[in-house]
Amino acid sequence: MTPSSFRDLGNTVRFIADHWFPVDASDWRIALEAMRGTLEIAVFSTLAALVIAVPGSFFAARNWAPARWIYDATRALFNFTRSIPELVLALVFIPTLGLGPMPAVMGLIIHNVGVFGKLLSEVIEATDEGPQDAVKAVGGTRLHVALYGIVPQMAPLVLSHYFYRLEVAIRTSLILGIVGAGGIGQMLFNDFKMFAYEKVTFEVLLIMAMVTGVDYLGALIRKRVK
Amino acid sequence: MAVLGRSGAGKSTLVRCINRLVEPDAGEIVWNGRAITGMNARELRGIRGEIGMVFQHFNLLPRLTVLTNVAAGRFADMPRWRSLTGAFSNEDKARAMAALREVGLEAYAGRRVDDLSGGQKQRVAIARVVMQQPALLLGDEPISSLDAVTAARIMTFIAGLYRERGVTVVLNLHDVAMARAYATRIIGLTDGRITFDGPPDELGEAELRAIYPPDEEDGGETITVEGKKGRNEEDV
Repeated sequence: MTPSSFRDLGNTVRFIADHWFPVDASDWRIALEAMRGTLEIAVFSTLAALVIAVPGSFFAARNWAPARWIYDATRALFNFTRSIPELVLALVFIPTLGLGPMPAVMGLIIHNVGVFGKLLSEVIEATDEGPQDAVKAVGGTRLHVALYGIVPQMAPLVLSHYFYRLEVAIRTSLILGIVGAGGIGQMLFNDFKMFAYEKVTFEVLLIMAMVTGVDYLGALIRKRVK
Repeated sequence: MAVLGRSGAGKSTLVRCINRLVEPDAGEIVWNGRAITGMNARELRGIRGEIGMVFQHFNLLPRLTVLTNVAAGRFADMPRWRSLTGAFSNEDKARAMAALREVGLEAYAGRRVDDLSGGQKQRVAIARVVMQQPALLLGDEPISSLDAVTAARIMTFIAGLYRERGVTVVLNLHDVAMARAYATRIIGLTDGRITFDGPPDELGEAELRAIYPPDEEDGGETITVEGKKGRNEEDV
């Protein structure tokens, strides 16, 4: 690709200008319903991944892991699950779970366990040792150190990582719509295939609104948890 | 007992070795006839329950309430499920409130520790020690990040624990005047070795110079001389 590859940029502009307008919002009921489906997939799978990864990440944090081999093993597991793209995982689960949202949910959960595991274990490794020393000094167990010395320090960062990964999961579940996961991604893909570009415009706008809304909600919640 | 010495002399390491926050490389630490070195994890937690500790940066549990921070002093004695869930018994809550009353912070029980001033934070840490009722109190520079008035107040309180409740107190201090004013025994550490051990009135100019030797490797002579002067002025 060279700068001259973009000489025909006008083609894209003309394509959008000529075919994507006026916006066709006639399917708005179906689109909103599909959007809810997308949100459900993204929210459920990221929450499930977080629930698994929060305890898991302690074993992958060098300053907390009870033994070096546990640290290595947990980290390797996170690296492994993170390295497989959601799309591949979803495709692999289709023969087991059939078409529909479940393969996408599994793909998102498995991949995000690896992502959260890595991010949160690094958050744990960066926590201030002071409160952990204090818990040890009063005779607390390793679990006390985690709950009282580390978790309170992690909370705000967990939230901000969560909301970012939710945003990514929304985008991913759109792509997973192509392999039959449903939701607004599938709808957009179908309309695109049928050259119904005016409908695609509406769906793109809806997705923008949804991502912005999630970002706004995240900011609101993070502001309250300081 | 106060431990004096230059930065890097090993004061912190010494105090932290006693409850094994730092593992000693060699040697033995014996408290009331029991070797703390060589204890397994469970025994160590038990003995740590009997040893209180205050820190330079207070080391309160962030984002939690003052009351929870004080109640943490008895983690080693509570049933495990209570300490892990934070569902403290009424008796423990009452004790924590009593400890807070002693340091004059009972009105702050429900506040988050993050909102307190440095002096208030160290008083919460002291209340945690009162809650714990230890036989030994360790302090790693407990007054180094406080202003002079607050520092004196904290030292008076700690001295009270020693005098009225017979708590053995071992503190690292970098303030020689404070050590003289409050300690009954002073230990001087230089490069990890004891260079002074005696009551405060035996700590004279020569002894101080032994505890706080000037830098030898530092290049220019002028710097060394000035450094020495500066230290002496500060110390005496």
